[in-house]
Amino acid sequence: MKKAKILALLMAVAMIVAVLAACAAPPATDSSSGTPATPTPKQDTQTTEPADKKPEPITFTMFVAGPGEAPPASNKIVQKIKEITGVTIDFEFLVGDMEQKVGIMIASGDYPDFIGAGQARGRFLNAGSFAALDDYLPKYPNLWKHYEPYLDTLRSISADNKIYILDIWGRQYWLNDGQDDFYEGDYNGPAFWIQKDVLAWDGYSHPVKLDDFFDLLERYYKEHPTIDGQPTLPFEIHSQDWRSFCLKNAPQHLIGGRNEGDVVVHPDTLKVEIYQNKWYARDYYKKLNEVFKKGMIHPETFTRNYDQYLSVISTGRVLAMFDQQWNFQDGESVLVAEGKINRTYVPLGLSYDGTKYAYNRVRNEGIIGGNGMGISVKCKNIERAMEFMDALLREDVHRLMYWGIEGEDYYVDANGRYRRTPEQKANFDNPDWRLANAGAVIGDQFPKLEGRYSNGNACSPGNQPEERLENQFPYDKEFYQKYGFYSKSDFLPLIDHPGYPEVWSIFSTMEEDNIAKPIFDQITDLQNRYLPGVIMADDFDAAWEEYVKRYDSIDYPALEREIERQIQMRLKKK
Amino acid sequence: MSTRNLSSKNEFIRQVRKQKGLIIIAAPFFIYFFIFSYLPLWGLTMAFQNYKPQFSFFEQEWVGLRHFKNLFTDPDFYRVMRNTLGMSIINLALGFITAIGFALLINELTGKLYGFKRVVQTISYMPHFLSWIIVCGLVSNVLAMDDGILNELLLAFGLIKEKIHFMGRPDLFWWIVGFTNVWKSMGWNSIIYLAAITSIDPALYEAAAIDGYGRFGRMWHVTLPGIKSTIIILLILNAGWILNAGFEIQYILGTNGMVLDVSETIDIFVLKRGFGRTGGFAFGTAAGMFKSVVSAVVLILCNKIAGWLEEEKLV
Amino acid sequence: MRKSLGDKIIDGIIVFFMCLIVIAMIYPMWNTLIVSFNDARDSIKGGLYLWPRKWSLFNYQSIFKTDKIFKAFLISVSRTVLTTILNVFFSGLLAYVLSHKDFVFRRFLTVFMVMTMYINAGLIPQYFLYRSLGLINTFWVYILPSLVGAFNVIVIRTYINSLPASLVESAKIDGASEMRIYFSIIIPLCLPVLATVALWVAVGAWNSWFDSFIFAPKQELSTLQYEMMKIIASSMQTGVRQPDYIAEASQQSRNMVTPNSLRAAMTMVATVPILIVYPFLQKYFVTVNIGSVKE
Repeated sequence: MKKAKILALLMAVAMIVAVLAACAAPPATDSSSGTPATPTPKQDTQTTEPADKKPEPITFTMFVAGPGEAPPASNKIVQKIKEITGVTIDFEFLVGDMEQKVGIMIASGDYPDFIGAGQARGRFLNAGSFAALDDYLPKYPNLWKHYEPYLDTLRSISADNKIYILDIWGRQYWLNDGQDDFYEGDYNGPAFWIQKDVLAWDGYSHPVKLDDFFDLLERYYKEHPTIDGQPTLPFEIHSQDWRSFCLKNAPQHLIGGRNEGDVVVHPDTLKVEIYQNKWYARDYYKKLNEVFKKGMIHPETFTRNYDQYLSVISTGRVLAMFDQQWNFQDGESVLVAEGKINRTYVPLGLSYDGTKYAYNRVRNEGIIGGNGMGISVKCKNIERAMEFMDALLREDVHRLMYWGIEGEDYYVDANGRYRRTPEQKANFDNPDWRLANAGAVIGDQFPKLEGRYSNGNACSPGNQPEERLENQFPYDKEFYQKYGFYSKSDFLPLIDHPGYPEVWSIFSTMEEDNIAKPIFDQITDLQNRYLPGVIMADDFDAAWEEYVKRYDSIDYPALEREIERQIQMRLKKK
Repeated sequence: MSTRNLSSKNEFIRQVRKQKGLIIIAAPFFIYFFIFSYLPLWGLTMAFQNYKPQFSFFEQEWVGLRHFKNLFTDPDFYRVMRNTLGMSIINLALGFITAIGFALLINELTGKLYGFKRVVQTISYMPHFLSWIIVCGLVSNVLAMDDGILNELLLAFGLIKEKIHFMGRPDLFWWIVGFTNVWKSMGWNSIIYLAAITSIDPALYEAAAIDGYGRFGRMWHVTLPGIKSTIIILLILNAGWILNAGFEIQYILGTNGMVLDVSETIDIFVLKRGFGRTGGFAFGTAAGMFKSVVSAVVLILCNKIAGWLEEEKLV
Repeated sequence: MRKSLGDKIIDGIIVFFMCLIVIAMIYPMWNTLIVSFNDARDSIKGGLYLWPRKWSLFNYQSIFKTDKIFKAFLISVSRTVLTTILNVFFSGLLAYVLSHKDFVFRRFLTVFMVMTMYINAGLIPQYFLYRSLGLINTFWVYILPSLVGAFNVIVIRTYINSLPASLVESAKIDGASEMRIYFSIIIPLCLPVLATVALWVAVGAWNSWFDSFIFAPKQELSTLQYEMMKIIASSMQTGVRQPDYIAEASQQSRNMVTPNSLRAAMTMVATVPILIVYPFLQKYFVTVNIGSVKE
């Protein structure tokens, strides 16, 4: 506890020093030439640019198996990119049922040129929809540099050990100058999220044990039975449909696991364990049962639909919940808009024994394989397609897509730092302006740079530390200062990546007739149907026993073995 | 025997000659249905394959009745069948009674009230145009414990002592679905009956009035018999869809653990079992075949019953 | 006809009852309307019942920001008008044929047709069929598959059968051809039921987006409903890893859209045009004077 505080304090100091250093650095004469603001040793993310020539215009079609909105042809960055590469992308984003759309595409073989695989990656991979890129990659310098360290990871997801899907996320470029951590985005993953006001009321405490956490909620609830005139809801458990992870995923973290989904992976032996019937799940639900009986969990929490869940959060009367921040951020944004900053949330990494866990705050995942796009076997011109993607990885082109045009969308300050005026920020905050003027709509579907440019600036405005600090509310600044923190992320320690992808993501690249899938469905079904009842049971032990009995009738060890095999497969290929 | 055959054959040919005009009109329709509805039926073979879309028909692996076996031996199958039939019957009964009743009542708005009738009609069919997700969102809000209007009303009138957790009550779920369906489609479904009422000879009403029948008497003895054939035909056609109890409404309203046991219909079940797996398409096709067979049986049965009762038949 | 006191009381009761129904039935649409005019972020708080809390046109602005919607509107109108005319005409024609109790293929054709309502080969063979007919990504994929509907045929047939048989018979004796009878006797007599079927078909064609999604995803053929589905789908990006500026923006910006608010605005945009159709059709919902048709 104390150690963590000191560490965080050190980090904050380091950050301030870093910003000061950046201020003290000599002003860059020309930012587009890529002069680093902070001189850094050897690290170089500067990318190769081909000689100028007017490229032939070509239109590629692209299907993305996920939501999105195609930019109009008049989008200024789209036009710039067309000038540079000659390429126009004709997007089709998924609208209805993925299985139907993708099934038809595979059955008919009517593929577009590019495929954004999304959650359909397994289907496309197994159907042989992608062209193998092993022979092409080395010919394109930026792409090669981007993927060269991860070739085995890219190959590890295919049956015949070839490269089909290029990850579009996760390739981060760092300068290793001690400031890199500040360029990590805010934590928005799983945690016990608690209102800042509850912690402030308790003298800026920082509960670590599950018991202490509920104890704090109880004390606060006793003194604040209503908030803004409405009854306080001390703990919410959202459990609708696929969002039932809010109900089920906490136990894995309470013993120190990362977010694997429905299993825990032992870090040393890589043994896999289904946990919804284990002691650490039992203890958690027993605690919830206790808390429920005290009236601290409203029974309606289990039947609230997603809109109602967001609605109660937006009223500021939910003290805490287990969730992932992106899932409730729409509700939180109402609190922000109404200035109720003390009712917004920070993450806690609770445990049974008092260890402060990182949950999912994992450093630099790198490329995990399968999380991206590919070129279809029907692509009309693979060379041009690769050339296009190669160009998108140039720093100047990347900057166009994510920062915009210098002078119009951002400016370079005296220290060579990229900054935005309030108007420029307001523009970016307007979704309609973005659609007509920002290039991220293209960049988001293709390989991209993350981390920092060779000149030290962040690869996207949202990660530029100065910009983020500027956006912090006075309440937040003061609140974090009490802890010696820089942002809400600091409530969780930062740990290294274990080297294999999160297990839930392995599921989407498994072969379709993998035996794990039906078993997985069975346990999911069982959990969703029984757990609310267990939490609300008059006799917890009886309800738990009944549930475990059902659980044991499922052949879940087969699922555990299969996932172990899948993890080993991915590790071996590296 | 043979002479009878011959004569019936001759009779047939004679009929065909006589009905040449009708046959010429009917033939293109036959071809149309054949191409658009029957030609694609080769796809039903998927139900017997381990269908993978990337392979052509000849490369598929044949698995016989495996998908059917999976369907019928699934421990959840009987539960979802129970739910499907339960909700279907409630929907059918509630839907028919309310739509017909509404049409009869609205038909009584005559004379000065004609303008009001048009307004009522136009408004009554509006909910049909809202998507299930909007309607279900409103239902959840109306029935909520926290701020829900129904609970507030019941409390205010002293009908209940403490709020009812409507959305968490398995015994109420089917009825919530039933009445939500009524809410959304009563007005829309009544349109056909209003159209049917127009075919009733006005003289019949005058005769009934002379016989001393009052408003409701006329409704019962003239209007209702006048639209009976339409009611029966629609009942038969809808009974054929007995296994289509709905999908979206149950999926949206019934996805919480407290009512999952009673909310899942066969369509949801098939989707869940097939999702993201080989055989997703095949399993769905097998389930679809099962549903078609049930439809055919129910149709034949209903048609027979209608025949026995000497009512309008489908065929 | 003058109404007695009893009649008036009954009228009063019916009117009262109808008023309750009207309130219950108009409420969902009304609520959708006010949500569509309410600030999206404010709507997250819920509790919107009768009047917008925070007026905003932003939901509508986000729909009409490109001209795609207007082109899609034209496609939707053309497919709806064309499908409705053709489907009503052909369904009525087949219904007329099948209304002949002595028609030799009556039983066979009825069964053959009715079964199409209950069997479904699935999407994949359908796609292959349309592809071999050259319909994929053409306007005709909206029209040809719905030239005639079995359900409609049965409903019209039932209506024809409930008409006095003498009418059709007398026309036959005059020696009129089948098509002539259909045009000059059946269509005018069947106006109420044809109007009903027209309404069904029109609403179905207007509301469908699935055929665009699977068979005609090309932008030039996009329909109003498909454009709406696209906009809603693109607003549902929670859960996908997002570029950081969006997370930041949703915390700070004044304007934001949510799937719910967009859906409300779109429902209004897509529903109002089709809602207007019914009052026009309503005038056919009157008893046809049988005598006048005979002239």
